[in-house]
Amino acid sequence: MCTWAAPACTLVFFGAFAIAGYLVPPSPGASPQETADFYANNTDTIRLGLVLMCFAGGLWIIWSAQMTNQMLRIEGRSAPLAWTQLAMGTCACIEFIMPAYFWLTASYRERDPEMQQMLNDMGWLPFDGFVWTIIWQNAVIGAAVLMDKRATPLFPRWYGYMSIWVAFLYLPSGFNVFFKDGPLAWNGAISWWLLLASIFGWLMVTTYLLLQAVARQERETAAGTLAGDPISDLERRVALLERQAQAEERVHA
Amino acid sequence: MTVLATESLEEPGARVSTRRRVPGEVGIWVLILGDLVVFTYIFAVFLAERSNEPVVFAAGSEHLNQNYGIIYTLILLLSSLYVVRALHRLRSADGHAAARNFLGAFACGLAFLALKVTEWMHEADAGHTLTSDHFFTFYFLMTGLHALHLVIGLFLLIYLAVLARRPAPGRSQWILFEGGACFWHMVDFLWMVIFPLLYLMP
Repeated sequence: MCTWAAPACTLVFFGAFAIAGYLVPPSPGASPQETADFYANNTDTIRLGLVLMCFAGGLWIIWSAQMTNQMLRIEGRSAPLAWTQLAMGTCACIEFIMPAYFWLTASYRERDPEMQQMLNDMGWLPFDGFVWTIIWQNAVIGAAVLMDKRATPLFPRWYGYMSIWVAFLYLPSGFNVFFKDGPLAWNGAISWWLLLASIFGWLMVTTYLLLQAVARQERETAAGTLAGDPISDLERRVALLERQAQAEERVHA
Repeated sequence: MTVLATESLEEPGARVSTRRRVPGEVGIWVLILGDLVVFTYIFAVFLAERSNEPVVFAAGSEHLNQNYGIIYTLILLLSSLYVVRALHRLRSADGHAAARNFLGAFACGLAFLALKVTEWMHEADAGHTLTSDHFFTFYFLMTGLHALHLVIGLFLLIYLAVLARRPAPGRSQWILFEGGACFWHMVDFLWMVIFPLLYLMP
């Protein structure tokens, strides 16, 4: 169930952004007056869309938690990558909500055009440019997938490489503060559209593979053979040692 | 009865096609081809912008020092040769010679990086930065992304040099050797496209 939070997050995000009229971002080069007019003319759709979008942020954490579960099956008890992934996923939620509230503040009352422009900037720059955490989220998922020592890994190895590659795709968006037009500005071909396409594509692949990994976990749990799980291996070993110790006690007694 | 599950990395004959062997593993090609796709996209956007502002792009290209470009190209070709030789040495089970060749490639990469930073500073002194015009945006974007890949490659080469000194590499090490070599050749190849686009286009 938790895995479905990933496509749900995508769906809510796109729907909400379409309602708000944000899917095609306004130009960073727009004049203060144009920006102020945008907020004055679409006040309610902006409010509705962005409030809805804040839901998408929470959904991001839910699927990240499921990913953490699967990564724990790869790493075992000492799982820095799994916890890093969860923490980075948590940051992503804030990165949805915080910029939305700058935009919502702009839609809250009519102000000087310059102030509206500032609030608009404060939303768009981080919303497009806060890639610094999802880059790490993708990278540690990729690293964990490639570390898997199972004969048949939980995730296919190509997915590990793909996650690392997609992390690199997010990078150019982080430089949007340098530009007011062109492909690297917050509404540009590379900075915005490539970012959306790569997150969306990667998330769909992730959903499919995560569903498979969870299904496998359920099968193995039912069969009592969590193959290659470091944690269940450990538990088996502990149980074995305990039985040996009991046997030795009986011998000495 | 308790069975301790110990998964071995070695999977003799596990789903390995006998018809054709992929260098490294199939997965690494997702990364390499994926990267090439992204760069192709950036190159396409570059060419589109260039046709919009032919004068700006021509002036920017004129300003770049072609000597730099040629030296970069030679350095990277040499580094790729080192990597090829390293793999040959590995196949003839001479790990130490392989490590030396990996370090040779590493030294080339380091020289490339030092020269690149020099060139960037030289451009910045001349007043050309990421935001001065669209040509220089692309110049810094392409060379910057390329340099980032090169830095990742440098770490890989050091790691491979360390690995090469260990006796009897297993299958998972071979994946790393071949995958790492392919990655380095990709860095080299990307430069072979970036160089004419930025420095040579009339």
